Amino acid sequence: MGASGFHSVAVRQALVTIGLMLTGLSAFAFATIATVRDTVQADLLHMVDTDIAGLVDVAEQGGIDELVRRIGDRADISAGWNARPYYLLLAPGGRRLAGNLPAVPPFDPAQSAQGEWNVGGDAIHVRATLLRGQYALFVGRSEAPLQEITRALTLRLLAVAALLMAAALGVALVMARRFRARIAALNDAFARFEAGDLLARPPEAAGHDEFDVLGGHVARHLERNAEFVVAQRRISDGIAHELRTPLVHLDTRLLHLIEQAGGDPAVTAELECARADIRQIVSLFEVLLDIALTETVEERQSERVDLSELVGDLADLYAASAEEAGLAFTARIAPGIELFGEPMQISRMIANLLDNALKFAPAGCSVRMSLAPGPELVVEDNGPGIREAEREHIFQRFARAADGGSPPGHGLGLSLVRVIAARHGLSIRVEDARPGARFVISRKETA
Amino acid sequence: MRTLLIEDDALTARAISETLVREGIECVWDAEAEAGLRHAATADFDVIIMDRMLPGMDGIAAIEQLRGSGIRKPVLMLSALGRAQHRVEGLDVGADDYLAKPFEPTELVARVRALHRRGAALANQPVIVHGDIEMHLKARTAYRAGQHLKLSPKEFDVLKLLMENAGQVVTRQMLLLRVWKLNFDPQTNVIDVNLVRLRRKLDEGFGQPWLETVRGKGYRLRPAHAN
Repeated sequence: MGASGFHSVAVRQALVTIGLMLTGLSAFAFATIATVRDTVQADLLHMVDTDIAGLVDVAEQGGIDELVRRIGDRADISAGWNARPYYLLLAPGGRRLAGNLPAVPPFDPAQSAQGEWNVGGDAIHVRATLLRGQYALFVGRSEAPLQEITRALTLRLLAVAALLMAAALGVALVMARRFRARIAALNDAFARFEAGDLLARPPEAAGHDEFDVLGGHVARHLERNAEFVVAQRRISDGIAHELRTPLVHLDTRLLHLIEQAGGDPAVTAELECARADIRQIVSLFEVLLDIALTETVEERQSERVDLSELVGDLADLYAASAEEAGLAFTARIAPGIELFGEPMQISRMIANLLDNALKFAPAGCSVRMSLAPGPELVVEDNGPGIREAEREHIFQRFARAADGGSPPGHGLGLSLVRVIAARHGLSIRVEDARPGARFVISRKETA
Repeated sequence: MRTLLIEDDALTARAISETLVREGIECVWDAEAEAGLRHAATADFDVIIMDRMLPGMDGIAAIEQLRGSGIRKPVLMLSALGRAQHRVEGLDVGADDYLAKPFEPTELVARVRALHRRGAALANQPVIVHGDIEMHLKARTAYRAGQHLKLSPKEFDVLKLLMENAGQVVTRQMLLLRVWKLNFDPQTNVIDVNLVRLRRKLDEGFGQPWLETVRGKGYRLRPAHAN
């Protein structure tokens, strides 16, 4: 199963990159706007001070009347400007002589005070000054251009930011997809290998980046694993073959002896016992090899198995035997439950559980089997049950019931059940059925 | 019946061929796969018995070659692996049955005879008749002396296998594998108990019983002429 959405490292990485970019861009925008504002504002102040210096000169040279005329001109001529000028000339005593300021700004001319003020919705910067020691002159400039520039700058920066973001997001998504695809190829190789495809390898590396190097490692790792699996199979096949051949010979010789005994019942019985021993040995190492091979990755022949039908058939097969053994057998099987796996192995797993129940539940008890969606398979009886201390032990190899009075068996049945279950992504546990033993096979709980 | 035995182990091969000959089945033995394949191509055999692990050529490869050259005769694979997987035992590549060593001589004979019967195209008939038993395979119904037998699906399959091999022993292993698709021996007497039930339905209330237990071997329907 692949990581998706926010769980993907690639997507998270892309988001972090974009976040960092946004932060950087904002800082840059703030710095730019502040700088531009400061420059434009300094310029405005400079204009106001130049204006005042000019008007002071006019007053010195042309007198107050000339000043009144010039102020009138300037207020008119400059009306179309962006940085609209404002003037106010007051005679001693406060009488208005000239200017377009509707009110007297609250700045002290004696101290050449300056500051921000508001005229009919227009923010202006004003400086006051005293002429000839008694006339108060106020000169101001609208700050509208400053605001205009700030606005235009902000808009442009936002547009650039949006463009950059879109580009970054696009690149990030493409990168993330490529990144994920390459990781997915590696994960896929592992998953297929685990599912039994010994030839599963990541795609051949095209370049030399970190992924290609990792891919190379994965390929070599899987290669070696496959070699181990094949070697292990060869060894266990060899063991099976080499062990079986002398046992087959032994069996053949015993059969000859039985024929030569000419029907002597005592001799025949003894020799048949010897043959039964051989079969016992064979079945023992068969199961042992089975467990060993099942525990490793192996070529699997998985298919979609109708678990409901399979369990139903086994219930059908065992019902009569249970009845024969004096047990009440019931099966409750939900229809249409499927499992991906090997039908023979699954049958064996369930048959082992049923064998176990039939073996340990005394006559008069009941044995119940149920299959529910999940899948969850339960085989339980109301017999003597299993002591708590023994519950884990019974799944270990060569485990036998502790009371010594257990029926014959090689003690590998439940161990094989556990191995087969694990191979199908299932787990088995045993519970107290109060009274009795309840074996539950269910989907492995994943953290 | 003529069989070809391809087995590298001389002692095993002798035992097998003695068993078959005793049952009136002719047996030709080859110790090597190549020789066996040549033999199979030139002479007519009813059943080919092949060991799973042969020197020089794997039993699987040998079967692939055999099928590749157009020989469709039934093949019984003798496996010393007992891995109980179709692929491993050759069923995927065209073997018709397999038997894990060591096996009972009777098991071998029963399998060979069953393969021979199947090879003789008996299975494709819509109705199988044995004595007064009649099975309609399409409708999945069975009658004895005209009376309908109420069989469960599995009982029907068991009876069908017995009918296809009427007069011959059908072993427990064969029943488990063919009817219940189980390739291992349950530790419980499930087969015997189920056969007892079938016998009740098939034979109770009728004069002559058909189904008989062959001790230590399995089950069979009596030959028709015996009734």
